[in-house]
Amino acid sequence: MIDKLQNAVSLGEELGASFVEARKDHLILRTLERMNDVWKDIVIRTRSGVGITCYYKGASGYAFTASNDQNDIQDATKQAYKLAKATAPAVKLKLDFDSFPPVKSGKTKKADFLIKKHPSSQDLDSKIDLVNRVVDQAREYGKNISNIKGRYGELYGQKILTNSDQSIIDWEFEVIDLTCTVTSKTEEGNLVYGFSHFGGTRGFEIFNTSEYSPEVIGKRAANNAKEQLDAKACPAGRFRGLTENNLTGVLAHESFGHLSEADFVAMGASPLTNKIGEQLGTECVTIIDSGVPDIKQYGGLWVPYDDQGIQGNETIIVEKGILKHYLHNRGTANYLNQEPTGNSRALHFGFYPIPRMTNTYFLPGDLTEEEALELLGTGVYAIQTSGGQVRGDGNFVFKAKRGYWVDKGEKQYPLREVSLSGNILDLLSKVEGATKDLELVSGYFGGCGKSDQYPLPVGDGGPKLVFSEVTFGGKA
Amino acid sequence: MELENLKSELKSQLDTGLKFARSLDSEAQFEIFLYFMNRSNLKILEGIVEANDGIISGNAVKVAKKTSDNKFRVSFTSSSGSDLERIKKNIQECYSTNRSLTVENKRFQSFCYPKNEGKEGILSDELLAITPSDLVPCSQLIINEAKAIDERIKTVGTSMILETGGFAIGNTNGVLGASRLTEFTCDIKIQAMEGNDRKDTYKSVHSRKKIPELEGFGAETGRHTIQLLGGKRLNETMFIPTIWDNEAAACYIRASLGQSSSGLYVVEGLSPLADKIGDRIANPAFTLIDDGQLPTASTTHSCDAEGYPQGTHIFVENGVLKTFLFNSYYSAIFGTDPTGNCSRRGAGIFPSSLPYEQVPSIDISTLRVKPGSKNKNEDDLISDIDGRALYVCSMPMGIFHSQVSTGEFSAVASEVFLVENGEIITPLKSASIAGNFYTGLQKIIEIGGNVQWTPFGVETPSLIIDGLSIVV
Repeated sequence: MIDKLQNAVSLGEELGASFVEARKDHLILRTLERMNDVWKDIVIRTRSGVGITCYYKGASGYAFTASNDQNDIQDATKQAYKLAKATAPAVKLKLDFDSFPPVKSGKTKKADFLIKKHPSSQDLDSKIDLVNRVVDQAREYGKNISNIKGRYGELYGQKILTNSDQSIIDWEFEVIDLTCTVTSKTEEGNLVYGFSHFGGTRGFEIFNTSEYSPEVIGKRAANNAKEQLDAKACPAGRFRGLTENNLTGVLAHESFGHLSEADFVAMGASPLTNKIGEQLGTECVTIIDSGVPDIKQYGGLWVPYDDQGIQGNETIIVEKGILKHYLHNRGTANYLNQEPTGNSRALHFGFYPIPRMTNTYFLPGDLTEEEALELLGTGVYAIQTSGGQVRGDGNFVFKAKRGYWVDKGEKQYPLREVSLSGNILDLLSKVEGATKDLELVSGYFGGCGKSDQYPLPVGDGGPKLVFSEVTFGGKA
Repeated sequence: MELENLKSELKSQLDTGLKFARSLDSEAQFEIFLYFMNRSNLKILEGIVEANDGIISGNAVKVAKKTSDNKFRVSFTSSSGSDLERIKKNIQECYSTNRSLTVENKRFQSFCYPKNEGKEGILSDELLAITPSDLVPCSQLIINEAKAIDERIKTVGTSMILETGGFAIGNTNGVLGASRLTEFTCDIKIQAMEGNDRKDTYKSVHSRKKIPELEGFGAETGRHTIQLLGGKRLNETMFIPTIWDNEAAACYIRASLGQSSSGLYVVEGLSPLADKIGDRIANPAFTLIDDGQLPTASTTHSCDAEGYPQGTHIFVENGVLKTFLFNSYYSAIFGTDPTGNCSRRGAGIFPSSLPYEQVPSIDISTLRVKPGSKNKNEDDLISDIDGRALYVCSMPMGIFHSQVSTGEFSAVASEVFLVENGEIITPLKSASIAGNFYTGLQKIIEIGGNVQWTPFGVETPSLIIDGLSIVV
């Protein structure tokens, strides 16, 4: 395949493109789902195709094909060049970039240091067994159960790229995920739910550990739902807040990470534009994006190369409250005089790569959970998340699946789902402290959405963070 | 593949695929789905130009094989490409996967049975002739218009998408259907700035027929963005009526009834409406129809994603819940007929970019809220307000992150104004709005007459809802 991609690069250059990228994805996606006692379809997807980007006078044209045929790839190359050339007169902001020394990955690079039992080596029955154990355990520990859903998902496969740098990159993407959702009915007939999962770039052996076994995941989801049976609605208003690690991750991703993506910055659409070197948060705030974090210790997703052939590395976006760097593709890095960060990612071969996050997280502090609760004093301890959203003006919202009302450092009663909202430039200045425990979360199910490229697997996380004030949407 | 011949060519491949499937096992049930869509996209964002073009094509196969105790083992496989070689390879993989299964779907009974097809939506030769570079002048018109409105408009971006293609679906019960789509969509995103105050807005138009009249689109969105600058924060928590403009109302309906109407959630015990057929679930003036035969809608096809004819169904009539939406799998469990709502758009609100990878499920076609009898436009609704109200425009953030099962939601509106005694007083920085979707439906106090298309699969007038909890 690499020779066909190299031919495409040569053809694009011969036609007149200033730079050409050619990439091939061949990915396998499997999902298994059991709802109560019913097994849904056992699903296997093969996602395979080639995408070509041609750059011409500051414009980029992208064309793709699901075919591996040399002629079809050449046709896609011609179409990509034609698009770039035809739209070049409309370019006002040129995102050209220089050549780099070639990157050579060698033979398909794999996350062997993280994966002992590759999902492809495990038979279907062992995956069915995982889901059965999750559901059975949830049933044992749940109360007034209306529905139990257990799911297993895996995505793995080869990603190959070559370009006008003459880079040759060949690596294997891998992510697995086991989830449990329990829905219970209150005495008044209202439905509440609890959720638990573990996912990321890991081997199948992770589910044999005492921390992430199906039994632990099933029991935790059931207990979360059970607690929600007696939970109260969160009061609406502005309160002191404590975010649990998973929720802190969504804050890092949704409320800050997206605004640091440099395509928004280059066009002036991010409130972080022209703010490098400015103090945006307290000294407790250090935010990182890394394609290669210490996954063994903290969890997360392994992204050693991006879809423009840049090696994944650690980018300090904010250090002790000061904005340091944006997340780039090659063009935005050149335009904003920063280094590429390995953040140019495409959802699949049907899309061109754009600046996206990999694993985005706050660095930990020095508090224990008890000290964090004490520092919180009276307010909301918000836990787990069902996602969030940010707008270009810096306004954001993210959802906590559950929480506690805390008074004088003591948990008082459980809270139902609640939204936290605000403006990012206000919020970071309200971080008073961080705990010492860092956790990263990733998975197969869900993912990040940007433009029409959804869902892209990412990781996020952090410690628990204490805020002096957050707006909570709830009962007035 | 030309659009004119697309149906016959896809059907021919399906027919060959099904014959091949039967040759593997004459007793197993097979279902094959083929997808073929030309997709072109032009984005111009503050002078950054990105153009994208290609054919999204793929195939999906489902196999159901009866076991000795009369239960079915069901497998689903998909692969990129829709040529015959890949289809056959995928049929073999799905069948082989099925043979290796040790678990059954106790509820599965059969794939869909053939029925007379419905009608396709509007198909356009005009859209077929357009190339991505033809869209450059249209984009520039919108951008120039928006920029000319006010110097505080700092960034303007457009995204135009052209899609032409279709799908075919067949099974060993004799279903052999196909349907096509031509569609143009244009999005505009504007950001205005004054000092450190920023506001951004997003609007969308679409047509299955032609590139719609775009003159005025950029200017109107630009004016709206400027109006939002200078938003206040009141530091108040309150219960006041909320006026939801077309897009905001569409989000409310989509996030609530758009999901809980699904037979999937009903059968699985996840819909709060599951036992409420015949109950009054909304204001008596509220009527909601799911229309799978609206010619202008992108979701309108002659058959759904399992080959059952799409139709029109009254979901809520005068506030009373009448029916749910089904595919054949869940209708059989529920004991009713399918409604032609089998979908491969995926689980999210917006359709998957690779529909052939999605397991057949249930989704709305186009939800249409009947306009109010007084035929009020948005200005009338605002001027009728006595006291304070919140005027919510566009999609509130987080509204689609709500759980179907609980109905509780908590969202943040960024395009929002305070209304007092019939007049818009001031824009607000943002407003947190929380409540329960279903309690809110009971507390609809006015339905406008200004029905509009929205990008959320819902055509609705503006709504006024009381009793929601507000932090501004």
